[in-house]
Amino acid sequence: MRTTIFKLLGLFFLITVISSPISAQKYLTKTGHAYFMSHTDVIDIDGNNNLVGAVVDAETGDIFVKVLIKAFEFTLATADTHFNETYMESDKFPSATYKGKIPMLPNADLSEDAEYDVETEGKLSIHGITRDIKQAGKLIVKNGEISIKCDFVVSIEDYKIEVPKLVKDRVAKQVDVNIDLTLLPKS
Amino acid sequence: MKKNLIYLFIILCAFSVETVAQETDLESLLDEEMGATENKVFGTFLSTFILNNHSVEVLNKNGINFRISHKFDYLNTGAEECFGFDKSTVFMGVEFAPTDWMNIGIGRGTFRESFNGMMKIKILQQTEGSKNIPVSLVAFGEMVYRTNNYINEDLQNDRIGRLEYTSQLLIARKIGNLFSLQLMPGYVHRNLVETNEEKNGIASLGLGGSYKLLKRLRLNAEYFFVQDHDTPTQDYYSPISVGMCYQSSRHSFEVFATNSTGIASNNHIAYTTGNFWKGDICIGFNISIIFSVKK
Repeated sequence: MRTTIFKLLGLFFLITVISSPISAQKYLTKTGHAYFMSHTDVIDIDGNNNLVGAVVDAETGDIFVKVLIKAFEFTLATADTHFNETYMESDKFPSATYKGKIPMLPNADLSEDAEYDVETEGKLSIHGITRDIKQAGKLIVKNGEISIKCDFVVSIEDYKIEVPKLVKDRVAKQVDVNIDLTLLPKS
Repeated sequence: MKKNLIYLFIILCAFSVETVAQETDLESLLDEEMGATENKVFGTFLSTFILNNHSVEVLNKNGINFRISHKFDYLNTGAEECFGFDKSTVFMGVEFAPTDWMNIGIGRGTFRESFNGMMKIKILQQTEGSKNIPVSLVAFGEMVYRTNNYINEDLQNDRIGRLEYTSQLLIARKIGNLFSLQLMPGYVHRNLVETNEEKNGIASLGLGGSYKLLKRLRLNAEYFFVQDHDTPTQDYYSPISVGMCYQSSRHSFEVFATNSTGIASNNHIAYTTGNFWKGDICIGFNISIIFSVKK
């Protein structure tokens, strides 16, 4: 009888300990920065987004980034309407997302200030199309905050972003994208 | 033995539940944190004009819009007049946006030889999500100075009499992805009118709509209820227009059929002498070229 009770108690503890998340430290930002530049001989068009959301799980290295398309700001007149209405169709696809992993993150000592060259692998979704990508970037730990910086190139054809023939030489086929996120520990 | 296996099974279940929870955790955590966002509604209309009348769209800061409008004469003038091709009214104007919410412009039209100056102020932008603004609201004002000759020589120097003013409130809502509606109550005041009986002030209520056919092509239409002029010598009718609007990266084009040959606001609202339903219809087109002043 006693052994049965002990066994059950032991099992109970085991289950509760295992099923409660092992103090997974998450880092979060709602004001991350995304910038893109379409450079052609005719015209440069660039957009700025200061409301990028991102969350990182330091234990597993999982990262999720969400970029609201309507939050991009432009200096070029009417660019915001064209960008949203005809290129990105943001009513249909309100955000671009990245769901991936930074494999070296769980191994990093986040209590020490340091800079790391990291790799990330995951799925990038833009304009309703999802592609597997692998990308290098920088991870900077400073004062308990994680900064992630990444420069990459998006081939707009890959994401079915259509450019009308008339303006073919005003929009670059390869667009330079720059991501700069500073994530704070989430309590 | 059986009991041990059952325990093992329960433990394994507990493990798998935990890892699944972790994966969707990140995405839903971020969604929860970011909350509902404020979404501005873009593209209520494809250009700063519906067809005859201004739309709630304004140019962004530093934008310049160079506009040419052209209306032929009525199609029912017959083969002798080449179905209206031989006569036309033309308008050229330029608009500038010193801020994101204000456009100012000047122009000149051949209809009643009118110089015009206009100002368009964006008061509200339709927004969805965490901040709900159901309509876009624009205040519009235009002043026209006519330089045409008077039959009565004494009036030639009456400069004040040559002024006409239009004020309008443009209220528009984009409904879903395909449809936009604009309501435009307005008032046209003419300092000098042709007869004593004729009213100086004409109230109007315009209804405009846009239907999306393709990403860059819309079907537009306008109808105006116009207050009676009380002119014994001339009948004036409601301006009606139907046409298409196409937008490219730097231009927008409107091609339409209308009974109104005037182009400036006062002229197209209060001086429509053709009756749409009797076939007094002319073809008109607007070309807008939009670019930015780089700083």
